[in-house]
Amino acid sequence: MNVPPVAAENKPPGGITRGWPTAWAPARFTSTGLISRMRRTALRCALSFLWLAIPAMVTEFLLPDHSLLPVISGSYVLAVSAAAWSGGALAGILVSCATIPVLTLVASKGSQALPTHFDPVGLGVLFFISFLVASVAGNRKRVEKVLRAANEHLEGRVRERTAELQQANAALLEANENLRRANSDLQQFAFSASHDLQEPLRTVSIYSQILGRRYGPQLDTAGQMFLEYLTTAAKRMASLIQDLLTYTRTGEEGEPVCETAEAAQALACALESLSASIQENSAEVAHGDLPAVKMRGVHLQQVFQNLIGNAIKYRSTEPPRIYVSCQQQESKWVFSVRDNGIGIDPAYKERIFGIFKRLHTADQYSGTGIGLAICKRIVERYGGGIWVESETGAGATFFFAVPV
Amino acid sequence: MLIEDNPADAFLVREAIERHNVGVELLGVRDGEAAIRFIEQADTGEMPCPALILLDLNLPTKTGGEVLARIRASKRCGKVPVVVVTSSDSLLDHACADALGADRYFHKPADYDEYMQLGAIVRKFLQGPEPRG
Repeated sequence: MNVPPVAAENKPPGGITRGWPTAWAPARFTSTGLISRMRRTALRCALSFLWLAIPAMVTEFLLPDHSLLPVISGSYVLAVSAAAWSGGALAGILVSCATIPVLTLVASKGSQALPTHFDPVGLGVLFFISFLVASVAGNRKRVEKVLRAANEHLEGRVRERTAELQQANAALLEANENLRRANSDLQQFAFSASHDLQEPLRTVSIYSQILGRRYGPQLDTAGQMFLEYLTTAAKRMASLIQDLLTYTRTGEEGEPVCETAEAAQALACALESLSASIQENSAEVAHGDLPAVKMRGVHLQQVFQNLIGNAIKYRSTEPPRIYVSCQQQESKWVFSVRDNGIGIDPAYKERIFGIFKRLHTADQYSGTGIGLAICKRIVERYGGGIWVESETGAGATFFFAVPV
Repeated sequence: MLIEDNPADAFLVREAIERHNVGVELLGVRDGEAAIRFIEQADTGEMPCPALILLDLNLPTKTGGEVLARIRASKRCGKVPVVVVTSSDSLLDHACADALGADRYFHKPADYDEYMQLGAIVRKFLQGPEPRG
């Protein structure tokens, strides 16, 4: 399956590809990266020495006044901190090392003796504090850098994962589209095939009728039997094609509409359509409380009609007794149609829902075997399901569930 | 005039008309282009306008829809009643025929006796209701 290229869409704006593999590692470990890095560090360190101008000026102006010595020391610590903050730990340490000669130079230039407070111990303490501040401030830089790198690495991973997900999603969408197209093609094929098949079949059917009427008396018994077979086969094929058309049309009406059907009303309509068959078989149909469901009324009626029609058709020697009920189970309405008919061998309880699948010959029971396939198609369109519980000779209960 | 490509159907239409004793001369045309040619000749006065047109939709060369549109655009034959006689039970075909100005839509049945009812329809268009008895 072809997956459309998505990499181009995932580059950050401006075309810069940041992240672990390209930006972080090579900058550290390749020779060109190292040289440019050293050059940057040297420049930063050099610039950091400018901060020494502050304590130098302060010393120049305030040295005679011994009482302001803490201010002078503070200005050095400040200069070292600023150097470390802007240039990193190395710059900070270099600048703190430079404080002693600068201090000595400035003091001697001003022809003023170093105060007694500026003994080696005092200078050492000042140097130590400066060093400490430089390390802490410099560390901030390092931590920041590590954090930035980790962040970039993480962003890179997120981008990679996003790209992978987008690819998977695109593949899934394409597969879905292919499936939808295949399904639609198949429906279109079934529709036009069954539609176009009708025309020649109609001619066969009608001319076998004419043949029987006009030339029937001239045919011998075998000839009349052959004509009978011809007529019966043509009629059967016509009903198969008609059912196939009904079946394909059931699925081609697009998305189920947001329509609510009163199940009791749909059942009443179904019974109305079946009234001749109900009377003929002295069938009794009763029902419990039935809810309103999110289905098109005609679809629910069709399901009832097919299930009850079957319950009457596959009757036992007893008059058919049929009971329709409904229960809510979690987020589904589960309808049941129970009968006292001949029942179904549990071995066939899946097969009966297949298109044109029958368990009896046309002599025993009429029909093409599409009714349950249509029920299944309708119920599945609404995100539901259909199944049967039965034993041979013990009646059958058909269940279908649709979302509440 | 009957515009029908299938001789089996043409025979049945003829038979239906004869059965209902519609004393009429039936002119058969077997494809869409020939039908359009006929209408054009009728417009120029070379041919007389038919009293009724029975039109199949699924025709070779030009479709029944195209023929119907040409008939309705005709100067002399634009008002001739047209009965669409087709095996299509598609609602779309029915709606198209209505939109193009068909007067009646007859779905070819698979039963002989039902097919013969077409004779009654033809009679109604040409002579009014069939006399009883």
